[in-house]
Amino acid sequence: MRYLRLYLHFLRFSFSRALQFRLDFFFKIIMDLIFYVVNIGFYKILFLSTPSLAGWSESQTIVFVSSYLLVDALHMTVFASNMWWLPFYINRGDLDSYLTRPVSTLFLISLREFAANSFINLLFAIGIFSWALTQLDYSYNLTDFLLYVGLILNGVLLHYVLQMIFIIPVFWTQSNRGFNDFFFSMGISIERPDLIYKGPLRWVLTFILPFALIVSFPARIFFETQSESLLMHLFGVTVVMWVIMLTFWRKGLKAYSSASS
Amino acid sequence: MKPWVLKVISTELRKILAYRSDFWINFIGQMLIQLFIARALWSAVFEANGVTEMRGLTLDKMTLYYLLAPLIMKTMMGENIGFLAREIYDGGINRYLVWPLKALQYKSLTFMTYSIFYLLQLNLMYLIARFIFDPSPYSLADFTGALMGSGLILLASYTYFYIMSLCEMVAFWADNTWTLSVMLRFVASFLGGAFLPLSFFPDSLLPVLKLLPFQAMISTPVNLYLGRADGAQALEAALTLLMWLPALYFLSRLMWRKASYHYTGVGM
Repeated sequence: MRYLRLYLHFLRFSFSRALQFRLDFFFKIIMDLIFYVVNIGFYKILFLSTPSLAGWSESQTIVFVSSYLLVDALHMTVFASNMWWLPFYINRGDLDSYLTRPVSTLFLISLREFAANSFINLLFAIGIFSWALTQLDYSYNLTDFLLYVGLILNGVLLHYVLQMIFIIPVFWTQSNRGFNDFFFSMGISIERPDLIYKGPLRWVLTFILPFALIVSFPARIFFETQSESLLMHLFGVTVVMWVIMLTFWRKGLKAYSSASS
Repeated sequence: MKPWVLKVISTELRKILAYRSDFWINFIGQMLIQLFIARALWSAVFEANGVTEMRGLTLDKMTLYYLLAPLIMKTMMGENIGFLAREIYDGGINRYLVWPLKALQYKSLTFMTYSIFYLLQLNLMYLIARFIFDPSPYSLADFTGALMGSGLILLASYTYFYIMSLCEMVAFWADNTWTLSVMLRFVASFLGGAFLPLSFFPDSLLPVLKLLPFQAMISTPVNLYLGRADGAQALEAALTLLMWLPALYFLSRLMWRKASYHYTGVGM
């Protein structure tokens, strides 16, 4: 309850700060909308030259892409700004002030900044997803829909955990740019259906660096028979990654030596 | 050549190589990831169509396309986003107002140093990847294609510097401008053919894309490396860029001059 109250304060501060810089607020919304157009445009153009992609039709792929936009918008709204600043806090020693506060440091550094502009984009993403669902020729029920929402939230959590795993090495490496760029390059694998990955690459992207699980598995709820193994795979990997991240975070904090870290 | 030019280049090179672990993780990691994902995607597309070639590209050539396109993008984009806006915010441009050189001239040199360095990386990777994906012996056409491609990329980079400067200079009036540079990157990548070869785009869009500078910046250089474009197409692309360059140059100069009157040191 205390954390919820604290989070509501974060929301209030974030909205009032965002509205102070209105041009910036507007630019960020436009930027994300261009990103959405490019992503949908990519598959729309690709499907001019192919009847299917890894067994998915165009309407199925568009549901997948719009699910990706949802995950991206949620991540941008809740976590992205915090993730951006974390390496700077560690490098400059600003983490000190977070460590001394009487709440979980991980909670504070992960959720303090709420991106109000991305929240607007989240509404656009929901609109695009709703449109994509109307194009789909499959019937689904309320259970499918609720399961989908749960899996999308799990996808957002997994995305956050993976990003943290790529940020935490900054405790030892001083500069995070290489790992950060590596993470964003890996991000392209989220934007593609998981069924295109075969052999060792599939194994890497669904177990070791499970980027391919973030969006593809939730989207499959709408046009594939629900499989328990798929759900167990997804939740199992998320739990393991969460434990790895927490262990890594604690080790990082032990290595932290303030401003010279 | 002015005496400070080499000094600026050497300082910038030292900055690029300052964090070597970052540098190699970045370079090799990004390249391999792009390659594997593109290969997986296009294998699925080729399989769905039951073909071994699409729009003149085999799977191996397509893979090479997706190796070259991001490297060309990186080369063309030179110094990272914020190369000018950051200095406007923190007052760093004060020094250009007192130094006996033009700020945009200096910034274009630092920008191009990154481009030249990345171009060397690109050509090295091309030599290796060309052998992996096309084991036929290297021919004179490979080298002329690479040479024309390299020249065009440098011209593209110089043109892109001025487009990006226009976005960065908005920092004189706005609080945050990195979003504009990211928008530019999305648009340039998509319309330039970095995400999808332009031969897959609808025919009705192609004449419009030809008028914009992005095709000449990405698609044509990739095709020159792949041997899918000839000297005439390289010349046409160069002329497109040369048509845009003066307009962008004068617009940047004009914007800089207007902004200089508006500038009040730190705290913009």
